[in-house]
Amino acid sequence: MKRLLLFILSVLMLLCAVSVALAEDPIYIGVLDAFTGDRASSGDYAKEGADLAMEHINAKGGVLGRKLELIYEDDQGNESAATNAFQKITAEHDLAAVCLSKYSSIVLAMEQFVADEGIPAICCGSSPRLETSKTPNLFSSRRSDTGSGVTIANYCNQLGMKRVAILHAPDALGTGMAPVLQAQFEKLGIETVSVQQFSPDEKNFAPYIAKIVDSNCDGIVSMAQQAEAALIMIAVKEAGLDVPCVGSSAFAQQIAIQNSAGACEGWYSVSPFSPTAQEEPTKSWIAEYTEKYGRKPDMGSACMYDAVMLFCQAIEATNSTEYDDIINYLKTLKDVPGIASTYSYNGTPMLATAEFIVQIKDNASVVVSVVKN
Amino acid sequence: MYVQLAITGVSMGMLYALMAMGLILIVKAVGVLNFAHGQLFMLGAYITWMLTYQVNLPVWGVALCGLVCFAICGAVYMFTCYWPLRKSPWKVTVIISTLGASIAIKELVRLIWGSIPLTMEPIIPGVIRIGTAYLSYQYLFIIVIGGGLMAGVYILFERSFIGKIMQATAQDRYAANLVGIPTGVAILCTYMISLSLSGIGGWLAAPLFLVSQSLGNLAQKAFAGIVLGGFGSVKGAIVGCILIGLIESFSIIITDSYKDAIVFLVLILVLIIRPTGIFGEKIAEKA
Repeated sequence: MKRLLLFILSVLMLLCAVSVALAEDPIYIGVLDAFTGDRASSGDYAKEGADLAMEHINAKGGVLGRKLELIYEDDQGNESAATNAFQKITAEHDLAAVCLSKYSSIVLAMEQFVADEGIPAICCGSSPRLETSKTPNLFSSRRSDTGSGVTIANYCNQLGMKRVAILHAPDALGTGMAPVLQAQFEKLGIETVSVQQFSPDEKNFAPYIAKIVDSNCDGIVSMAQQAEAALIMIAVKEAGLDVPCVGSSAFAQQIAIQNSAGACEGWYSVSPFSPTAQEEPTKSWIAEYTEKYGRKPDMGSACMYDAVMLFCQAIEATNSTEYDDIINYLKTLKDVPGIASTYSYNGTPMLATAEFIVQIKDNASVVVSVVKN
Repeated sequence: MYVQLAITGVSMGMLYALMAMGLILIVKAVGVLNFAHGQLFMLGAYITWMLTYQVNLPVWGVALCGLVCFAICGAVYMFTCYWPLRKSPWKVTVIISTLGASIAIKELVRLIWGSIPLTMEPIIPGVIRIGTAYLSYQYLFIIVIGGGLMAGVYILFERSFIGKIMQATAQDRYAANLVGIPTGVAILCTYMISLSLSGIGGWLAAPLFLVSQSLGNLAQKAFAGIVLGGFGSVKGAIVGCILIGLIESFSIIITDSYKDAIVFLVLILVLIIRPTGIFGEKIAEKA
């Protein structure tokens, strides 16, 4: 009898311990970005945004009473390493969801693996190819470059441009947005006098700008990542070109502004996020981020923060970490406010519904207007 | 436009030539191509950035301390990547060592200075206008300093005793040892001079292209210049690199996306016509 009682007591204690352990198991969300290599600067900002989201969530008691933990994996900023990183992180960890890089070419390289795994994934990319993706579990916390391209072209028209030169990156951003721009320019009766695609890892933009000068344009549109954006702005200034210039979102981000040595002054950009935004909760978030990390946030920080928060909201709302439940919830999103944008599902993976037209003044991107879907 | 393209081409060519000179010195000294040369160029940019903005030295202080730092880096690099492997029967081990060093240096730089690109003010800010063309004062500085360094390297190797020792070591190490030349010291000096050249190149390039981990990618064109000019020839490397700079610049007239492809296509064509490069000499080994 005594032995039986002892046995029952042991089983009960064991069950209690297991249930306590299970209840304490964190919820894991994966974050893939470039933490080494040439694109590591964007990974740093993304990690800061994600860490801040984790801090906020855990300060409110976690998700479903469980602590949120982010698992970081380095995609090294290139496609082959990214696919390996994705397979590694999903194989080694029991993830509820995964947040991906802002580089569309890298996300597109992983797309098939994301589809095969079935895990809900939110990236921060904006390529038109993402917009038309049929992968049901892949989303983006950005607006598509198709929409941004039309916005840029319309704004060029507003600025009075009639002969535009386009200079774009060789990646998904540049090759995706350039045809959209040209098509919209044609509709608006604006002549595209020059379209140039610069080489990967380009550092010397003087020859491209020389060709632009020779084209006799009255406006420049450029699509590039942040380091190249800074160099393009410097090259345009050195060439003495005094025409309105509009850049993709990277032109209004911190790295580009800080490294342009003042050449960014006056440039316009279409950006999902502005570190000088005055609306709440974005303004307070920017202040908190700046105090914590000693520098202003950029688009990558804000988009990654929102991606993590959207996943946590989905898990809370569905009371589940099952992939299908989270994916189905994301497909019901309507006017959910975030830091970088307001999020709604409109039948495409692109969840963001707004972005800003900004102009750089005194080394800060100042909002000129807001564009909504 | 053509004047601008010519100015840009020559300026970039001089930058590539600075890198190429350092590469050639190591090739001549130890007979292997240093695949970490681009990263050493990048390291030079970071070291001078640190001396300028973290140690707050004036320009002359950055130049002097920078040279000392580059020489020390050269010695450290030699003793870690070459010296332990110098007696290996396979030369490829040293090459692999340089490949590993290139990855290690890149990530070491990221660990120390972070991944965000850094800005460096030009030594002389502003541009000089020549009609419709313009030339940044920094490029002018590169051309002048680069020319001075090339002259210095020429005088060192052709007119000085140390240079003759280094040449003797590079040509035939065994014979040099036999006649009492301290070949180890000669190789050490070569590495220190080579890294000083690449470090100075990094310092000059930094204000133009940002101080970032991708700065080392410029070495690809320096390699192309060396091959075009004739492997092993300093004069050839300089001419080859300037030609590469000009081809790269003028290829924009034909295509913008495939600029690099044109550069390497021209390289292939030249090598088909003249396999030893423009100034290379045909060397046959006796059985």
